Amino acid sequence: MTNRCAVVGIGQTRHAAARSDVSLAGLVREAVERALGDAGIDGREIGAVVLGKAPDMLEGVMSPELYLADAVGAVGKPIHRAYTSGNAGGVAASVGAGLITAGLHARVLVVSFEKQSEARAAGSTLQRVPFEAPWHGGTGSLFAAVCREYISRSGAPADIGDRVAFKERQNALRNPYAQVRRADITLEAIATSRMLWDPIRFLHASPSSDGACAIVLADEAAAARHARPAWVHACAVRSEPPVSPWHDSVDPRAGRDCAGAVYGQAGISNPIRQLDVAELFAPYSWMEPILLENLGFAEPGAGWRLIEDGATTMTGRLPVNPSGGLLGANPIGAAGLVRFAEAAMQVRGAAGDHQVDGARLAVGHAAGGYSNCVAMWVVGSERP
Amino acid sequence: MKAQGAAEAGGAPQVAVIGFASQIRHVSDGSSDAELLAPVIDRALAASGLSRSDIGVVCTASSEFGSGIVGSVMEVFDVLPCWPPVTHSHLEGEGAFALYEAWVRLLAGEADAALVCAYSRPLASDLSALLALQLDPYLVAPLAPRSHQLAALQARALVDSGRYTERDFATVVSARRAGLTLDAALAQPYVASPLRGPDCSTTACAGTAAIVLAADASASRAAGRPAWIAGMDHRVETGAFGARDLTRSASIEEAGARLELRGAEIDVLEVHAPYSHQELIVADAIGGRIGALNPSRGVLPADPLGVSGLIRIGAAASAVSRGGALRAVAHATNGPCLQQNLLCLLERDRRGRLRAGG
Amino acid sequence: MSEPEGRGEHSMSARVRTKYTYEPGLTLSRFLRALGERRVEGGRCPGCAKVYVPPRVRCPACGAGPMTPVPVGDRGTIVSYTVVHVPVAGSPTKPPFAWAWIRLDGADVTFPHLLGGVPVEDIVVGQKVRAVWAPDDQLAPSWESILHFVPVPP
Repeated sequence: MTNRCAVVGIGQTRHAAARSDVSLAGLVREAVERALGDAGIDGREIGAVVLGKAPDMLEGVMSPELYLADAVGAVGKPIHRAYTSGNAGGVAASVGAGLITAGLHARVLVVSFEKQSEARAAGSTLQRVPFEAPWHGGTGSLFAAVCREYISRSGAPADIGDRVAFKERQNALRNPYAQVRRADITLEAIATSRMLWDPIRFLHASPSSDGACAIVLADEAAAARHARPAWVHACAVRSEPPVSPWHDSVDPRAGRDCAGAVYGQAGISNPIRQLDVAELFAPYSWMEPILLENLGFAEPGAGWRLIEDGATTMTGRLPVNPSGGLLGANPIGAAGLVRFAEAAMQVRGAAGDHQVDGARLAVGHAAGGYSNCVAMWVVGSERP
Repeated sequence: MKAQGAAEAGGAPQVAVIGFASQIRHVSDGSSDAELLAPVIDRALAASGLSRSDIGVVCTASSEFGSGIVGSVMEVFDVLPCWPPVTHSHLEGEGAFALYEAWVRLLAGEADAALVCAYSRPLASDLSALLALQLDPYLVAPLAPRSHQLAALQARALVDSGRYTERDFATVVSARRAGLTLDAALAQPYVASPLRGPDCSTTACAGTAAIVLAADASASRAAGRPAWIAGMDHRVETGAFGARDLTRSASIEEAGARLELRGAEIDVLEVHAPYSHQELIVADAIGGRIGALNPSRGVLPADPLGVSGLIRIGAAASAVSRGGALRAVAHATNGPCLQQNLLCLLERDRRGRLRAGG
Repeated sequence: MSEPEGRGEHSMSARVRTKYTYEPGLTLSRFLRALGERRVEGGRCPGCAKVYVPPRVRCPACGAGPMTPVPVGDRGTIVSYTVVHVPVAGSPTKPPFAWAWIRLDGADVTFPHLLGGVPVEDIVVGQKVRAVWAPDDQLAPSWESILHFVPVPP
């Protein structure tokens, strides 16, 4: 990287099933104001804004960056729309980091949001029969097939998904921004909850959320004004075709290569030993062991053992999703940026009740499509 | 494909357009997005002299809302050079902004060469009505104004300001639309006063464009003359179009100032003006000494929404690389009444990059 | 900062109705017409010889194209599957039902389709399956010309 980049401010909304107390602009503004306040700067010091957003049809607002230009303080500035797929929030962060690294701006605001409660757009994701086969399972069932394939390949015990879900939900209790914070969800309740798409049960799954997240990125000179910046040690985005003889939904090369790229940039040769925290994009609990293998924390077929050993709990070798992850809140396009932001919060020591002690190097991950679009970054408390 | 670091002889890396191809269709032959895009990518790569494996960044743009397909980019992965996996991002909107993102990624050292593509089939839906969904969803979108009506508000304001007349609009029209005289243009009925049919761009059935960008080392391998991006800047104005002066473009004035265009010699200016009056506003806001304005005829005769801005950049680059122009500027717009605007400055001679940012 | 918990005082619904025209494209159209004749026609990449069902516009791996039409049988293998208990709204199939990623014999990629004619508990990864075609009066250029895939004895 040419110019160094750091996170100097972070803001999130209280994620909820429906934030009917705010408009779209109000939701975004809530996150923006918190990020600017956390950075201790005036919006005028922001040079450019990047807005990450997954499908526009989910809110019924086309190119929302146009309507939101005022709410995010972008009038008279560049506002850039980032999307790609479910990794939109992570892609937005990578665009923001690129603007800093390329020397175009000293401070960039990256914002991502979702307010699905505003539109009933379920029809937009229906199968386009007769041009597509009528499997009518929905996006969740796509993940379920991946999980089923993983279980078949790895021999993972049936309770792994339950154990991850329990861990996520316990962690969410210590995250004031999470939507789902229920102490009454026991391991038993998870294991017996309604089956949605085998092997994914109701309590293995993320909720549908309204929410927004914003971060302030700064170059080295601007970051010098801040007490505890989270330095961006690495950032990468990788996509591959969803259909090809080599596409492996369980272990996609896009994920493996993205991880390899950020580890290489950050000088990480042993991810599980060198990283202190991981915030991974797992909309269903069964995705955790899959991602642990795909992103190089475990050998193929051994990801589930890390869960069995408790390695990914708050007191384990590699806490995964101390925020509660997507099971705590899943504002679709924003969830990727939330992972990136939560990683930064950890290395700034700013994660409050879900802080991992002594976290100095963390990874944030976002994914989308058919597991073929991935974004990741590594942030650290020390300058790279 | 991997980052090469900032320092080359002459300072910071500079990026050039080294390949461009586009296609606009007025009639559908049943081709899908991927089928329309494939030959255009082939031609752009061939023109560039690079191969698929040289591409390290792919930035694409389309309108899912316009096509009705959530995740539509998945359908075109077949034809993108994304295997082995590369840096790829897709944006919902105008292709010129995907080019901006690719430019930034190359400047940041993510790769040496990028492919930028945009594709659009604006007649797959009633896009003029759907564009109302770009407006404030609580206060304005429910009024369901059609895009011609919004543009007409701006044209009306321009006429009322006394700076331009309907005759001036018709002058633009007759210059851009072959075979249409000024008087014939003025004789057409209004679609939304003071705009007549020919004042509004003719929506194409389908459009695709691809541009190959290369940073220094790869640009030196270009098959033709590179068109160097000396600077690029974009700005957005308020979403409340009632709160801005629609008769001028503050965002273009700002972008143009950062590129030092006012009073500068510009051999070719390509303006993305879906309405005739907007060409006047844009040219005024740039304020350069313009040699040729829209020698490509601009978008009035054929407008594949979402691709038109990227095509303007390609046309300006071609003017430099093949047409003998020393300096060309391309303009691209997004949003109602020129709300968001991008300017790209292309030059024949490589020089230090202008600092367009802040 | 206090957290407002209430709901908005006013809400209104603004309907957006829009019609979309979908084009399957020339390549997929040819494949669908073949399905209407109870034929599965894949595409072989002229560059790397991989066979795609359905055929792609270009080979995602090597970029070559267009693909050469090649007949593919209607038997294959379950690569992965799931049992759907909660389908999307508007699904015509009553849950629980299963769908699978199926790789036909001779093809190098999978496609999704329904599984039928088997209790969902008896489905396993790796099972051999064959297509169950629609009756003559229901055949059309459509994926629904195949009703579903059913496991066959090994």
